[in-house]
Amino acid sequence: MPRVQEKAHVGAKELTAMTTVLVAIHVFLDYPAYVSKYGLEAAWMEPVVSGVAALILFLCAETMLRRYFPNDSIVEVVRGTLGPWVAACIALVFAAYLILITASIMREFMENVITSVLPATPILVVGGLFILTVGYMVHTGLEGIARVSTMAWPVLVLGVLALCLLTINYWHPYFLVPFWGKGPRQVLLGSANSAAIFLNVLLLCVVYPHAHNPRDLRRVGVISTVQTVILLTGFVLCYHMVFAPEETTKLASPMYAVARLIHIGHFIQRLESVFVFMWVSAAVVKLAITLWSAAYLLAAGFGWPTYRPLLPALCLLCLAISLLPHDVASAFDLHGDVLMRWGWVIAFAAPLLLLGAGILRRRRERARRA
Amino acid sequence: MNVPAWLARLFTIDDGVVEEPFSLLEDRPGQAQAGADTGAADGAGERNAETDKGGQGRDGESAGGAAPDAGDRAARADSPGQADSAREAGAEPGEVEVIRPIPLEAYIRQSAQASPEKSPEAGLEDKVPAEIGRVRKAVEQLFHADVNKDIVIREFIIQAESRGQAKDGKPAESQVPAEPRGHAVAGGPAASQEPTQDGSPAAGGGKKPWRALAVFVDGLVDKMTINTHILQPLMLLTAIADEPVERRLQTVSEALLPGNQVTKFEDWKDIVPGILSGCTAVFVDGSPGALIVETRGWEHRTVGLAQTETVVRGPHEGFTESFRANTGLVRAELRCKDLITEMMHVGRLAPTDVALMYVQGVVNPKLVDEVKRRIQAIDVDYLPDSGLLEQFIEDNPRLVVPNTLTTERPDRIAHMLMEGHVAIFVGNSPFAIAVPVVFWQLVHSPEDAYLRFPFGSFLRLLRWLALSLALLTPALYVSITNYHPEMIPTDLMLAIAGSREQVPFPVITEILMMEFSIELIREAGIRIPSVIGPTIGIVGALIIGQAAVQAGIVSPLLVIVIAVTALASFAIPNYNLAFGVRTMRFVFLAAAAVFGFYGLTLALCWAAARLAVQKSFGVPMLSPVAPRMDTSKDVFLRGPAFVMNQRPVFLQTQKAWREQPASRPWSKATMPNALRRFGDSVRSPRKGGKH
Amino acid sequence: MLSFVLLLIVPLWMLFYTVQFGRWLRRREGQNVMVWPVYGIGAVSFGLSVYVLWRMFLS
Repeated sequence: MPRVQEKAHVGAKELTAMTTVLVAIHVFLDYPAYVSKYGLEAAWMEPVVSGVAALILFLCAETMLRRYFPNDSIVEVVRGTLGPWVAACIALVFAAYLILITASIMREFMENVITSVLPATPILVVGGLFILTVGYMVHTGLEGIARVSTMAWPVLVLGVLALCLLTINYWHPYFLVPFWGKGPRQVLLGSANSAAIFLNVLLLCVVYPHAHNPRDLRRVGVISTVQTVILLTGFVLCYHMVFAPEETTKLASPMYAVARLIHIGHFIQRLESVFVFMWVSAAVVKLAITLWSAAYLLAAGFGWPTYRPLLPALCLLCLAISLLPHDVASAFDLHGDVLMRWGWVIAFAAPLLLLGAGILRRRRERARRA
Repeated sequence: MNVPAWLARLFTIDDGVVEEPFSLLEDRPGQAQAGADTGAADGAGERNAETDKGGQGRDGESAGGAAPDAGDRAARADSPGQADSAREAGAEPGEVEVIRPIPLEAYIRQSAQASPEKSPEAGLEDKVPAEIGRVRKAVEQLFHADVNKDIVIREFIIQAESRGQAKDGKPAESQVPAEPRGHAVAGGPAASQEPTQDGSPAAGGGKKPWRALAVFVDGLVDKMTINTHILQPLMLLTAIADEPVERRLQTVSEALLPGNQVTKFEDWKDIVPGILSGCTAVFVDGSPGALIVETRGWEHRTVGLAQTETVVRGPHEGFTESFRANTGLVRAELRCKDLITEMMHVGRLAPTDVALMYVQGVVNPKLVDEVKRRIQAIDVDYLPDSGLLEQFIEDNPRLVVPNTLTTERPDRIAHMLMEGHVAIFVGNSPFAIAVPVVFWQLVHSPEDAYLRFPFGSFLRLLRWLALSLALLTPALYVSITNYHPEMIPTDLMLAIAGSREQVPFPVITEILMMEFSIELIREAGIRIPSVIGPTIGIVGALIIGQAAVQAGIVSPLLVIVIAVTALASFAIPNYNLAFGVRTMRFVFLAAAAVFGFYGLTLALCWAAARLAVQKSFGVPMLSPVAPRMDTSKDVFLRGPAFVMNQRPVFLQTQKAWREQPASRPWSKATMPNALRRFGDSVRSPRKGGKH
Repeated sequence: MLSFVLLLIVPLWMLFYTVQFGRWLRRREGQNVMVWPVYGIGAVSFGLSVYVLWRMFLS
């Protein structure tokens, strides 16, 4: 079966930026509110816990890939060991998950845009423009996405930093006590439920053959996870110091709420519109990455030489799925209760299981041959 | 029905979806297939073009203008599929409007048939005849001398002592039939000249006349040189013994012509371009061939100040409308034996000189090949200027950001050549092209390097600010006033609202009106005769600055916004990029007018993604930022000259280092840094660097 | 109604384009690849988007 003819080769720095943006963008979505539900005052521990877990799982997956299947992406591993039909099914499942993620984040994002900056614009127009841009970026391929991520990375980091530091006059450190919040069990539960945002494990398994030097991938994974954890924890900490614990669970768009607060002197105030820039561009990059992964997985799983002509269908599919929930609440529930809670199956368990199965199969074959 | 290409692309899928653009990086094993596909296609195209030209050479293409027009055009649109219609076209070669393609074989056959009737004697493929009468006739025919009065054919006689005559007693003419070329056939045209020729030796006593011909194009040559260095020595100062006829040209070249560049050619195809480029061709009776004497001297502007890229510190000279002066200016800057100037000619009816300049041993050979491949693929009748060549060879002509760098400064070209770029000079264009180019270089100015680095960096920062202002100010103004008024501090917002109170139009109309007038002033400022030039400033300032505000058509704040935008756009050093910014400004303005910051951001993302995958001659246009490469700091800021010791990585040059890692070994201020970066090896400078 | 009909152009175009992609794949790769998922994704995408449009503008 032919491979996808994507000749993109991406350097370590771009991959780092890409994976960081992919995960860290969640500070701009409802992630801070989501983790607050479980941990309250101790919500900042959740990204740390899930980050460390993700890091360990990533290192396992990376070791397996490096040792047994150099230069193969996860789909090729499955195809080589478990057969093309399994590979196709796996690709379909992964792609379906990624499309669902894309769609649900898009819905969340569209609702945020409508409530904050464009109240009079129909949601179809907002979403249509958005998916057009995302589709275009996916069309430019992995190289385009990775390069835009490299440029978006400083914007994201500066944005989060600014957001945290400019609210310094509203910080109430005592909002962070009691230290354990709702208790360690709740924190752990929250970490497990929200760990699915660490999609970088899956992403790195997918882009493995496209790295300039696959040996760098370990470093890429570690650095990007650490960066992400720092950004997420920093923002959650700041968010919790600014708002009272109960309030933090209820805000639909924490980033926007924090940004609205900024008031340092006469000229540095009401900067939320500036953050629209960062927020929109980061969301475009994030969704472009997930949509690209979905399209790439499909192409790799079914043996198509390219995924580009399928993009109109995938974009429309994302838009349609994102508009399926009747209202904001059901959209948020779908995202939080289904995709986030069970995401770990796809994001961590499936790649590791598949790699493990592949290794077992290969060993058995070798034993048989010997 | 003709469906536009962009529309057709929305409904069809072909193998184009898996093609990859040219890249300077080494091919990886996996990439071989697609590369081979496109390569094969290109190769076929080139082969076609070559055979095509071969076929055409036979009928004496350019000089005689003999190529049947229909066939000529048909051969260009080579599509072998439509043989039938092609034969119809071939049947009527005189019809200009027939542009249907014909197969190559049919075309060659047809041109072979057509050529004898059209130009029975003078074809560019022919050798120069020995007999001077026939030469004259051929020249007259080649250059249409009966109607074309630019061609000067000067006949004269070289007096040689006829020592040989005394020995064997034969008259001079008796030698003529002895030479290998069939001379007797030319009796007809030469007959009328016979008496004079017979008369002159008689008059000269022991002299032996050689009939000769000087051919040149009036206006292209330096007449003084012809008079004093060709005609005078040949006609008056000759004191040489007679030679056998076939040696005559050799003797003239060696002993009689004091010109600095004299070359002997035997084919018309070498001689005609020489004459057309301002040289003088000297033919001597009896010797087949001609001497091309360098007498170029047409009128052109002398080397003057650079018009569009002025600097305060640094050289002030700019290229001019003389091809050789331009290449010479670069060579004068860059005295390097490895600096290579390759010459090519583009254009079928009127070839234009195209020079490719690069530094052997530095430049990536793949890049040179690619540039040559693209230039050789140009098949036009005439290529007037570098601006057109640029459009023929750039990667994406539809992108508003230029894919090539055009400059009129020899120092900039010299610097870029040393970095590993390739420079292209076209005919008499005062602008040279440098490829590849990355986006950041378009905002650099040569002066950044000549100034001390903090100030170079300052200027660059200023220009980056100017670029973003020129691109985004109107869009930001519209989106803030229309969608995000809460961003502005209340006092300012009230002021804006107050100033807009009188204005009856929406902001976007106001802005478009003002932008339109600014663009109008800009265009008018260039076209207006210089005598009334100052008026435009006064009129423009009055209309835009005062009257519009007083009439309540625009708000005063908007005038400031537009003025800042206009000023900022003048600060962009690259003329082509400035155009791109001018047009993209309206795109962003439209996005912001309809969707505020949201639309603006999406448009920016779109632009960033587009630029990120754009390549200029195999180099990603946003490198070394995206993709990130470790290279000397020469992007947003300007590093100190003594730490910019590596060539840009993205050019994939043969030599990475251009300076010693530590180029100030005596300095306590900078040496510790170099030691930290490169270790102890930099202490012994000549060994330390990886030169 | 009018918006529904106008917006329907987009899914219709998508469907056409996707089918073209499937046919191109079949021509190019023959039996090497699975082409049915292309049609499947196209159909699902078309169905869902028409449903969403219908719900937005007609129900």
